[in-house]
Amino acid sequence: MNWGWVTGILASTIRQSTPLLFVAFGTLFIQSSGIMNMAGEGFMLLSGFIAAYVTSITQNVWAGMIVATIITGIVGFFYTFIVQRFHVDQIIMGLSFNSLALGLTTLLNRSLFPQDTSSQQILPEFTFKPLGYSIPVYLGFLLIPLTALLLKHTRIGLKIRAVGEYPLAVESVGLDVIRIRYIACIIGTLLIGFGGAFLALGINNMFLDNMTGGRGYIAMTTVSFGKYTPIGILAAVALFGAGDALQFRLQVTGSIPYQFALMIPYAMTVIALVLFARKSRQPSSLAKPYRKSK
Amino acid sequence: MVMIVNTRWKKNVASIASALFSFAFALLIGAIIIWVTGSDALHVYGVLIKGALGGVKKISESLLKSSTLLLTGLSFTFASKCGLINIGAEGQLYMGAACSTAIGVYFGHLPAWILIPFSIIGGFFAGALWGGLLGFLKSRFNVNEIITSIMFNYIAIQFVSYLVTGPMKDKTQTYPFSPKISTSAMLPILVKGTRLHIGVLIALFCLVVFWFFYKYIPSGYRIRVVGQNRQCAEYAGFNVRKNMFIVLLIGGGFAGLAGSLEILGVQHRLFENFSVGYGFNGIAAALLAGQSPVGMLFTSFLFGSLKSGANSVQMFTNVPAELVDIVQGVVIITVLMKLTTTLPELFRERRKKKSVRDVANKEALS
Repeated sequence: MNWGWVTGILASTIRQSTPLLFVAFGTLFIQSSGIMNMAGEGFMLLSGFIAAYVTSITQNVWAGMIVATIITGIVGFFYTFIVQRFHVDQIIMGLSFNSLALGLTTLLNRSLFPQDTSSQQILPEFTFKPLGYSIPVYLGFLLIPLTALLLKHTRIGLKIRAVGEYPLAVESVGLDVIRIRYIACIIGTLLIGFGGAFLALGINNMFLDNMTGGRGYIAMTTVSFGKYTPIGILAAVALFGAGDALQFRLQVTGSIPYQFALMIPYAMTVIALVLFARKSRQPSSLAKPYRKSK
Repeated sequence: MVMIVNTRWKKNVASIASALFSFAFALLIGAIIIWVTGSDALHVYGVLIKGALGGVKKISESLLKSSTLLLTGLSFTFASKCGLINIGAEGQLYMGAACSTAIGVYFGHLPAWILIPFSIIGGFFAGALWGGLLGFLKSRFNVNEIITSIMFNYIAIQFVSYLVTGPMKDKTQTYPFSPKISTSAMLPILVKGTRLHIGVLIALFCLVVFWFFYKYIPSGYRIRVVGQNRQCAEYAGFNVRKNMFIVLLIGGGFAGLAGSLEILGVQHRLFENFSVGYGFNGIAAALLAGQSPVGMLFTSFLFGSLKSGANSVQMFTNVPAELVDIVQGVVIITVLMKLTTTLPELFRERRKKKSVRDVANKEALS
């Protein structure tokens, strides 16, 4: 048996999983605080575009990563402001935000980057790669114990989970529900921003129109599939990463029509939802707007 | 009685005003973005309006797009009456289109009076099947219909891409197209010299069916009860799961019809990505209309003309047609924020707080 094939899939799985991991953990933070994050797709696109644009100007990958992450966090703040101040429907808000982000990034991409593919700008890559993986991959793995620690064993983590479960109780002990949710959402969007930026710079090496292709929604599924626990989410993300890797592999080998290979991640999502829909536990106050009691 | 009519009328005026305000606001944001990318916003909007409404031909194109959006919007609204969020219109549209194309190509020898109804109904059923699968998963396994419907869209798009590059590919062409449908499957044109076909009337008829179903048919009433209060519906003995299945099934049929009419009336052959976002554009129009049938008529026309105008914009300026997605996103977000009612409220609150503080200060001073 040729083991090169297996290690190839494994390495590809690890690479493909990294952006998804960041987005999933960002979504975990946001949804733990009781705010539904349908907008992962939009945040990823936005940050991916900014990352590619800044990198093309500065010729420095890390400048792109950092600027994109920070700007996504700022946009995340305004997004949360709209969600909390105006008590909007969080699902429709997320979907419209995705439409807005898709339109905006496509429009900017076509007007700021040269469009004929032959002169498509080649962005610099991550140069420092210990053991063959760039730094964000390792940061992704570091994220798992850090998040577990933060959500389970620190004051702010407990507060975030508490406002997701029962905000009234949190307010009754004199804490500011709205502020805690802001904190959770900003942490979450920063993580999503980092993931989106890595998707553009570490995986695709450029920005493509609608390059996320549903990954934001898939990340959302991994959170409920992983039952809101860091280890569970890691397992779910790895599964989807493997699906993604397999899909690329099948596209290359051409053993089935490439369209069926491309369907794999989406079909996996549906199957995961069917198998685990009933067992999923989610924060009790998810997607319920909170109004301060007078 | 007069009072009731009066308040209802006021409410309608308020919601129309809010929709128009959101639309104007979105156009303003769009203008800023156009200006940032280095184009002249006024010129672009001029091209857009001319491309949407300048002349019989342009208006007919806008009407065609509007009718497609009306049907995909109905797919969303039909399910939203039952409290479900069905984002699957895009995928259902592709499935409907694929089925109608297959019938139009492979049964091309049949006479028009059989072939046209046959392929239209085929498209409806293909869309209904794709929506019904969603409904089955929702009612049987209680899966999240939002995510599933989005995933189904991606799968359907890939499936159509497979069809036109593989089994249904026109062997005489280099590009991945299906063969042209038989001329007897093409829909009759309403206005000479344009592409305006009878599908527009079919879309209007579907809107009437939708209105009638929810207004006068008992099962429509039951679905509305399920949508408004699930516990109450269960208590009343309605079969909640069955109703959820039905709305997703029929809704899928409407979107399938949209795809079918687009192929039979306009494109005449199937190819990859022929639907340029009709699914979510229709949903946006439906959201803006807020389940009102008359409202849907207007918002579909609004988005339909926007979409057809955006094609001219893409052709004659440097601004791509995705401008529509931006405007649509901003419109829905501003509608959700209910700025026309929440902003005055926020100001009132602030003033109240300030006056309370002033009184407290005065008391403290004296």
